[in-house]
Amino acid sequence: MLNIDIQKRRGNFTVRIQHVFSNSCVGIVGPSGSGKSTLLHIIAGLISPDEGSIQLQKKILFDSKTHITPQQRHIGYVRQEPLLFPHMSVLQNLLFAQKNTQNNSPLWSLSKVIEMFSLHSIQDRIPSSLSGGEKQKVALARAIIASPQLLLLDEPMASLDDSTADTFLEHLITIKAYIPMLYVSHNTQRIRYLCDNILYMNNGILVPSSEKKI
Amino acid sequence: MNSFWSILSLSIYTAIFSTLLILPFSIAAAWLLARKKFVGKSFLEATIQLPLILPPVVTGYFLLFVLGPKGTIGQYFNAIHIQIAFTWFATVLASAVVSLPLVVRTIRVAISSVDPRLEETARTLGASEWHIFRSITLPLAYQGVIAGSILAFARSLGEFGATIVFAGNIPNQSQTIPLAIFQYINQPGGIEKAQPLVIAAILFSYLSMFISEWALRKVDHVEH
Repeated sequence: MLNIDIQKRRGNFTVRIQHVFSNSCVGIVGPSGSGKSTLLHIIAGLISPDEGSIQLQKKILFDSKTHITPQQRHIGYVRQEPLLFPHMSVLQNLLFAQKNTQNNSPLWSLSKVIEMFSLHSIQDRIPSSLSGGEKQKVALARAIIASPQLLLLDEPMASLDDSTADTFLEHLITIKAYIPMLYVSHNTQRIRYLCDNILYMNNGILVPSSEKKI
Repeated sequence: MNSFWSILSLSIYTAIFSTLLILPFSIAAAWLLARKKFVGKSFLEATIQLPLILPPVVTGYFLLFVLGPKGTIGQYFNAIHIQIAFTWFATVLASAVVSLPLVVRTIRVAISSVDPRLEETARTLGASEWHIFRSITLPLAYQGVIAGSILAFARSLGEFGATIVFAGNIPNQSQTIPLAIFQYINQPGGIEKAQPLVIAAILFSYLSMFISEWALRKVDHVEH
C-alpha cells in the first residue's frame, strides 16, 4: 500500500496528490505535462516534494523529518526509454542491479529472470545492438532483479510495436501478481487490460475513475 | 645533444607528473561543476578558470607569494627546511596550476554529456553515489578524461611564464623546453641551438592536439 499526500510546484502548476494506492496495479492516464512523470519521480525519490508525506507499506519514505534516498526505497522504475547502461552488456546490466540490491529475492534471481524474459541469446550483447523491444525487456528484467517493493512504469510500451508490446504486457501481468505497480500511459486500452484501478491526472491533480478492468 | 635529451626528458617528466597531480582534483571538480548545485559554485568555477585568463607570470607570482620561502604557507615549510619554490616540484606545480582550467573544462563537458537519467536509474537500482560515479559516469566520460589529460600534458610542455617566476630557469631542475629556448635565443648563436627544441615542441604539440581532438570527437559521438 502506497500512501501519498504531497505538494510540488512545477513550472506554472502545482502537483497536489492525496491518495492511497492499494491495488496491485494502478494506472494513471492524462495529457502530457499533467504531472504524471513528476509524480513517479517523487515516489522514486529522484525529486523531493515541497511538502507532505509518502509512505510505502509501513515505511515512511518522505515527510518533514525523513527523506529516504532512491537507493533505500526499493522502488523499481522503468521509463519509456530503457536507459540501459550503454557500456555494459545485457548480463552486466542485470548484474549491476543484482549486486546493488539489498533485498535479493529468490523469486527474482538472475537465472530465473534471464529464463523468464528469454535473455539467454542476448545476454552478451551491448544495448546498442538490441531492438527497442529487447532493450525494454532488459530494462524491466533489470528493475525486477533488484526485487522492488513497488514498480513504477512510465509509458514503457510507448515506443514498441503492437506485437512486442503484447509480449511485454504478458510479462507485466506475471510480475503484477508479486510486485504492486503504478503504470503511467496514454494508451488506455492496455492500461485497462493490466490495471485494477485507473486514475486520471490533469494539471497535477489525480481524479479517481469508476472505470474498471475490461 | 646531451642537454637536448636532458631538457626533453625533464619536460616530459614534469608534464606527466603535473598531469597526474591535477587529474584526481580535476575529475572531482568537473563532476561537482557538472552535476551539483551548491553555494559558491560560480566562485569555484571562476577560481579554477582564472589561470586560463591570467598572465602566467601573475600565476607564478601568486604561487611565489603563497609557497615562496617567505610566502604565506611556504614560510612554514621553510621552517622545517622544505623548499618548494625554485625546485623541480615548483616546475610541476606551476605547470599543474596553469593546466588545471583546461582539464576541468574538458572533463566537465564529458561528464555533462553523460545522460543524468542513467545515474538516476542506477540510484533506483540501489547503487551508491560513489559506485555510480565509478561504474557509470566515469567510464562513459573516459574519453574526456583522456582528452583533458593530453591537453594538460601539452600545456605543461609549453608552460613558461609561471615556471620562470616560481621555479626559475635552472638546468636539470626547472629548465623545460620553453625556458631552454628562451635562454638559447638570448645567447650569441643560440638560434641554431634552439632549433631541435623548437621542432620537438611543435611535434609534441601537434601530436597532443591530434590525440586530444580524437578523444573529444569520441565524447561527441558517445552513445547513450
